[in-house]
Amino acid sequence: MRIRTGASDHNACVSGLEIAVVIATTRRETRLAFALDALAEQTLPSAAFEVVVVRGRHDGMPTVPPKGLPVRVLEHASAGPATLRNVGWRSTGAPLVAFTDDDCRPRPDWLERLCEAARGDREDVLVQGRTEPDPDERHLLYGLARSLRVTAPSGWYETCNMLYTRALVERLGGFDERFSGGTRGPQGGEDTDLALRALRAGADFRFADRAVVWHAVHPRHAWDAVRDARRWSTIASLVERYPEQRDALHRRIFWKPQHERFLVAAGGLLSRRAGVATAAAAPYVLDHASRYDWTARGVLRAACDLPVRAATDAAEVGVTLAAAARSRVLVL
Amino acid sequence: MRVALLDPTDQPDGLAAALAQAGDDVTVVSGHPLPRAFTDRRGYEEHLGTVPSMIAGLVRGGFDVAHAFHPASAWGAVLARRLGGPPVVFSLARTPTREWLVARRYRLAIAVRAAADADACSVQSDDAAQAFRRYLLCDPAVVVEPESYRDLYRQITRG
Repeated sequence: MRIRTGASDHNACVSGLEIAVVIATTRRETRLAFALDALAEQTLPSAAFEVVVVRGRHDGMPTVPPKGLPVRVLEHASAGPATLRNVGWRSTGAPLVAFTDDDCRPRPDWLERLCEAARGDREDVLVQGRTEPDPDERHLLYGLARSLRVTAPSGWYETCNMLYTRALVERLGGFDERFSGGTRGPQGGEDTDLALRALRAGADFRFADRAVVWHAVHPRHAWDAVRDARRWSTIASLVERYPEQRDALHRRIFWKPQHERFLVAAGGLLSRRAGVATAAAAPYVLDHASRYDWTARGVLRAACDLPVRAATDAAEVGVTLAAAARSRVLVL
Repeated sequence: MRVALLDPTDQPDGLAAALAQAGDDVTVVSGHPLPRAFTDRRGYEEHLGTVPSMIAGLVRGGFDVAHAFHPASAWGAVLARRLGGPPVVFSLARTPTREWLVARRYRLAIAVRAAADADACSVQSDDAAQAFRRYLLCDPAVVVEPESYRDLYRQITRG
């Protein structure tokens, strides 16, 4: 393990510790092992980076990092990602800090590409990389399964693939720990909040198309999908804090395009007129069906999954609406 | 000792014969085959559909030990143990690589849960043991000779 403390020239990605990878993890030890394996295969020399794993709550035996990977593991009682990530970046002296998630596998040239993208005269840089569903798991991405695809600036600045200069993240005070969740607090959104604060402070945003991270595909059953809706209660508070974030919303109101289609369909069904209901529901049903193969089996699966999809969307719209009412902004 | 070898057995060559020769009462417990086609086609972990009937067979069977060779049957066996079934040995005949663990829906979660809850785990090589430790988060015994499984059975039934 090598740590150099203090600020340094972040343009030199060739000698000494230049970049730290911070991974916050909670109860996903096997996925973390996959992430560490991927980091052990980075083309950037191992002397130029270190991995800081900040482990929140976990049960059972922790995984063992691969040999040769410069990794430090910190334990912290908090389960909140904002707190864990703050513990991680504050513990390193590297001038660049990359964030990824414990369910992601960076491609071997990831760190090299991020360093390339961060090069320049400015010290206040944030870089978002490209995220795609893991090619080894893409065949499982259907139905209610969840993954992440970011192939262009998303406007949400997901920390599964973000880089900040340390000077910038330090100046901003790191992630806002009020987003760290808890039993009643908001869940998620700390990554978007940090990036939006950075942009407001005049930081330089870059998108690194070749800095690729592969995101796991998580199978979900109906209850998981509905429960996951709670994670997005912070969308409204983000829009309240940053009105410019409306630009990242569909039609500046809807968090997801499918929410618009869902609400139109629900409105049509409430009209109790068959023609209106059919016309209103068609876009929603067709969008849902487009996620499946156009085979007899695919259509059957789509039909079976439709009620669960509708329940999931209803839960997401409900959570967003409740949060919007609290924040007094219109987000659906 | 009454030993249930869980189907799919994927067992080391000669295990059943070696156990029988040593005086053990060996029974192969199979799950109902019909749901398997449904779960396989939807990308679910193989043999997941056999779990409910396998649990019933283990709970009713009066076995001293259940020996599983596949994550789904090991998971079923640990569920059966909660309902009064026998202690569980989870053996993998293969090295649990990342590619294999993520190839089917729920395989990873099932394998981790089964390894954590089984009374003993085993693999057949040191390489496999290393991967098992890293990915399935528990230390398996390395068992090469089929006869050595009897020691594993004795250890967990004694406990």
